[in-house]
Amino acid sequence: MRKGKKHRLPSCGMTSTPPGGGPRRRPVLIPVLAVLAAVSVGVSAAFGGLEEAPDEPEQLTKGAEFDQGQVLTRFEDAVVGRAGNDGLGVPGRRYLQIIMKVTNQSDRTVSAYLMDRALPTVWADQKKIKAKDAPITSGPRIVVSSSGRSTYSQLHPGVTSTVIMAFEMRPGQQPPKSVQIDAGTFEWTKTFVSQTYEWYQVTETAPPTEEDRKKGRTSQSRPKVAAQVRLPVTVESA
Amino acid sequence: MAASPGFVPQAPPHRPAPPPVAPPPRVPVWRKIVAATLGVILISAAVYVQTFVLDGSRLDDPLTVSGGIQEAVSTDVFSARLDRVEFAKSVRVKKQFGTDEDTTDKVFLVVKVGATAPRRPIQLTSHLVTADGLRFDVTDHVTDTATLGSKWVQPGWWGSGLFFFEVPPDKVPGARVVVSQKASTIFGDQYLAEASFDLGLDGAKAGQMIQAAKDVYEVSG
Repeated sequence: MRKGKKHRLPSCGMTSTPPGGGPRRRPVLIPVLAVLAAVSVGVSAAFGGLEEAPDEPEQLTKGAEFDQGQVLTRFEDAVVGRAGNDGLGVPGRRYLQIIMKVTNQSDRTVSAYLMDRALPTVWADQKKIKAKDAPITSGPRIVVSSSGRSTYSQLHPGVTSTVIMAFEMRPGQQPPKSVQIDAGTFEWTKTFVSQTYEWYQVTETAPPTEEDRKKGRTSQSRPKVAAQVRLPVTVESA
Repeated sequence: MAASPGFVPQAPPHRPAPPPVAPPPRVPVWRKIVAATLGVILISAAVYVQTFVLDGSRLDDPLTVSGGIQEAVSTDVFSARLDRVEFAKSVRVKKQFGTDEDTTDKVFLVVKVGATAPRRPIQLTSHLVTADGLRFDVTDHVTDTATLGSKWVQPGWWGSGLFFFEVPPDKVPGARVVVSQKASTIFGDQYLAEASFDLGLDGAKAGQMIQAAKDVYEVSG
């Protein structure tokens, strides 16, 4: 046997009978590989294929803090109350106010309207009250409240400010029980044109909406929702 | 084709055989060594010069001229001088009808800036850069009409005005105030001129000045 093995040509392969006349060697390697390949294909198919698994948005509640890259946001409260003489809105009208503590983590002053993009969508009891593409005039007012006498719009670097996103409510409108907020994130990315770095919103491609189809687009790019925040709404009396 | 016989010289039927070339003179060894060394030095220099290339994040930086307090700093489109620095806990803006008063839980840093322009009127704006590189815009707590930002700086004489910043007191030491031309978002020069003033405030001096901050800083606007 030893002798036969020694004389066997390498090109004969594992399946051929050794010329020395010894017992036929069973082909083991190839069937094992085939079975392994089949199993791994089956397992990955069973777990949804090789496509990247969608990471589910983090679910947050009142008082949670969420790092959005450019800003660090603490979702403090959602309140329905009347605007006073504080510059929040027309005195006496009721506003649904989402109150946040926002820390600007970038290196320069930015406008509080950054939060319009940072929180692309807001629902009140499943009803969408802020959409991502809505014009700024129909969206909520976003202000920085500092002294309680007036409102501002700057978020200075490294400074934590109270930011209020205020939705005007119609007279007699029932206050919602809770609001749900989609929070996106920003990334410090190199721009393609000037090769400089800037904060860019993290986006994802999604199936097109009706409007996109009309314009002939086959997909849409939308802000990626990294966290969903649910805040119970408290109603201020009077 | 004989389309342009004047432009295509007729090739001679056969070149005369080149004269026999003398063997090149032998280059002495020391000259080979010198040439090789020179080559290596030139190549190294070419590589070293690459370290002076600005990286992408600095390509759109403005052209900065630096100075200290009460020092006239000249750029191509304006000259500026930082006359004084003050601190205040609140700012009162007296208007024609009524008064705006604004307080802060941080501190207002007020700079008085004098400026003139060599050729044509210009509008200036300002920002503050802290020691750790954070950039603060002029505050929106004080209306723009009370600041130099709303005035035109004219050629021929020095005008002056104020800029207000709202900063946390611990960011004041080592801060610089930068005065720059107002950038148009659409038109204008890509390389903006700016004048950078070192406030010359170390920790102790800043603390002392913030301690002595005015309760109310009154301006008209």
